[in-house]
Amino acid sequence: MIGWEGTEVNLILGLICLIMAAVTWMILAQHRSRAAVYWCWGNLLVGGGMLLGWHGAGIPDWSRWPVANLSTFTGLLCAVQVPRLELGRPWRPEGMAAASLGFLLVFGFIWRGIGNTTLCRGFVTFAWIVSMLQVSRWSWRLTGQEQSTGARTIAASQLLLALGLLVHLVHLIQVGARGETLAGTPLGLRLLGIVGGLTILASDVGFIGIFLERQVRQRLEAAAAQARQEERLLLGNQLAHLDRQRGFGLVAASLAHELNQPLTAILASAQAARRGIARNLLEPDHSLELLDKIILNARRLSGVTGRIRSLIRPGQSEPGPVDLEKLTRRMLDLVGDELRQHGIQVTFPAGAEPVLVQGNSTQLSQVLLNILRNAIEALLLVQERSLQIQLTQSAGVASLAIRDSGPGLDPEVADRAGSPYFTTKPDGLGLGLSISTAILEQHQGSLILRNAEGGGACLDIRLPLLGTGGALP
Amino acid sequence: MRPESALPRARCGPELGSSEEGVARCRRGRVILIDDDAEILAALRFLLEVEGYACVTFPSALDYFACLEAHRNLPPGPRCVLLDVMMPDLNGLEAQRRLAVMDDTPLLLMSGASGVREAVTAFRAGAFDFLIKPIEAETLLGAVEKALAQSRRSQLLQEQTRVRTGKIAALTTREHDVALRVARGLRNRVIAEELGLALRTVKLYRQRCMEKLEAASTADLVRILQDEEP
Repeated sequence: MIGWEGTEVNLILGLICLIMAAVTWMILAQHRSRAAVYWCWGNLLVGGGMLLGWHGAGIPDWSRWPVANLSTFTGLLCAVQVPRLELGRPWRPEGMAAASLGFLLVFGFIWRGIGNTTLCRGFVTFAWIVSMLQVSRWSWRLTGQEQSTGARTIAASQLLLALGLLVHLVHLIQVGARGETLAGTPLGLRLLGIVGGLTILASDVGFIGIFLERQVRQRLEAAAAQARQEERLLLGNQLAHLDRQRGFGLVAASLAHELNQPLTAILASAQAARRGIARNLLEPDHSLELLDKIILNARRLSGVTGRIRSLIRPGQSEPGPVDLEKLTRRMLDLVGDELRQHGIQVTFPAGAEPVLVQGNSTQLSQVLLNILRNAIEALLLVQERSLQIQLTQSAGVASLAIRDSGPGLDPEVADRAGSPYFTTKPDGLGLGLSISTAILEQHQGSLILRNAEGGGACLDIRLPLLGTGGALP
Repeated sequence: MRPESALPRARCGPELGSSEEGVARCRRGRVILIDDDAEILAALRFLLEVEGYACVTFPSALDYFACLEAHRNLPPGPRCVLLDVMMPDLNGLEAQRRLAVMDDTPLLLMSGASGVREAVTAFRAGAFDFLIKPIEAETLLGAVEKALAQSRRSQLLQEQTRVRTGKIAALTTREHDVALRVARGLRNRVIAEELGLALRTVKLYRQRCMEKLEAASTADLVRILQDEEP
């Protein structure tokens, strides 16, 4: 009831509102959030109010105008509620009902109590302007938060219509006393109608846009997150691979020494035999003894190469049952030469039954190798060098404790040990322990580095036993 | 891990002097082998014995030191030490430092996994050679032969010095005074004047010096006394 009541503009705008309500409801079938419900109800109420303003259909005037205006105003309030909901600051429904009631009372008072039609139109127009500015303001805030073109469209179109109505209101105040309104002139009516229609269409499109944009963004973010995850995994694998290569490189240096010893013995024995026989200096049992030495040392050699093979065996990346004791002994063999070289005493009591876990033996051997290397390096700092290894199983958990008699850990170091790139070694990468932790976590296990009672560092590895469902209790 | 050698473990060396063959081998040269790997000790020993050298082996440098302590009078003849660098008890480079203090026996180091740094350290500390395992027989025997030659030279020099010092010590004070002046090229009369002796007495002393120092000529006598002059 702003001055265009009973015209075709009312009919057209009302129909657009109802149609757009239905269209929006159908398009957003997948995203019927509370905001969507408010938006469609808002459209329905505004459209219903407009249609009621166009044709009374036999309803008496005293109820037709209050209902029509109440419906439109409540619809606008619903439209304000939509961006507020999206921003997480919705009005409470009772507040909205109170506002509508207040509007109805003021409207009724002006219409019936004062009986001034122009004042009545001015009040309704003013209420519309305020609501639309609210829609515009809150939508604009939403734009700031979401970078959403849809919200920006709503803000702009509502602002445009509010400005149109402001012009109408000003005109109403200036000339209203004479009983003429802007909407009363054909040009003004048409202009308001066009602006109103465009606003409704633009707002609805904008509202649908918010959801479509959000959907696209979510998909993009999901894709990006997946890409990041894959990249992290790949990088993690590469780091683990690098660390493994470095570990192998360090072991290879000690294996080279181990290979050289039997090779030296073989070469010297063979050349002694060659020279002795050529000069007829060797008795037959001497020759046999030399040949036996060659055979014995060749076997020593093949023992070393066997260990190298087990270190780099590529086909073992498939997860399966792993015998922890066997694996630990194999890794001890691998660094055996270093242990001997530095006079490190190893105690590792044999278990009564095998301790089996589900896992990737290549990765687990990498973990053990890392830990043994750390222990050896720590032991080089002290005179009394011993390494105590204990493997136990209880309550579905395999526990491997590796304790060295080294200097132990500074409290500060103990805190940071295991974080990536933290190292106390001049040539260390600082990745050994963090990669080991990551590998154990992939196996649903854990790794704890602590100072042992009575000196030295102790490393506890816990892994779920095979057949326990793969989780630490 | 390391298999024990089937060969009887070598004793420390003095027993070599008790057999005729041992003495002959010692005269050709004695190689002291030190390595923690029994197989290598046995194989290298075989190779060296086939070549006619005497060979004693030790599983660690500490054992060798203990043997040196126990037996002062080792059989004569050139000798050299062949020492592994990577050993558990006492690292070869450390052993080298200790050996260098004890005597001038040429030292050959061997290693399988050594870097340039170790080799440089070894040479700076006076190593005779640095051999890389596995070692070719020609390389090893060549190095051993050179080291033994060096040892022989230095032993000969020591022997000569010892003999000469003994001869000079046999001279009386007066004879020594005369001999020094003869070596400086003074005539008998000048010597007699300087020492306040009769010419006859100087001639007699000079004759005795020649006999005691076993000098065939005056030039010989000069040569023998040369190193005595400060």
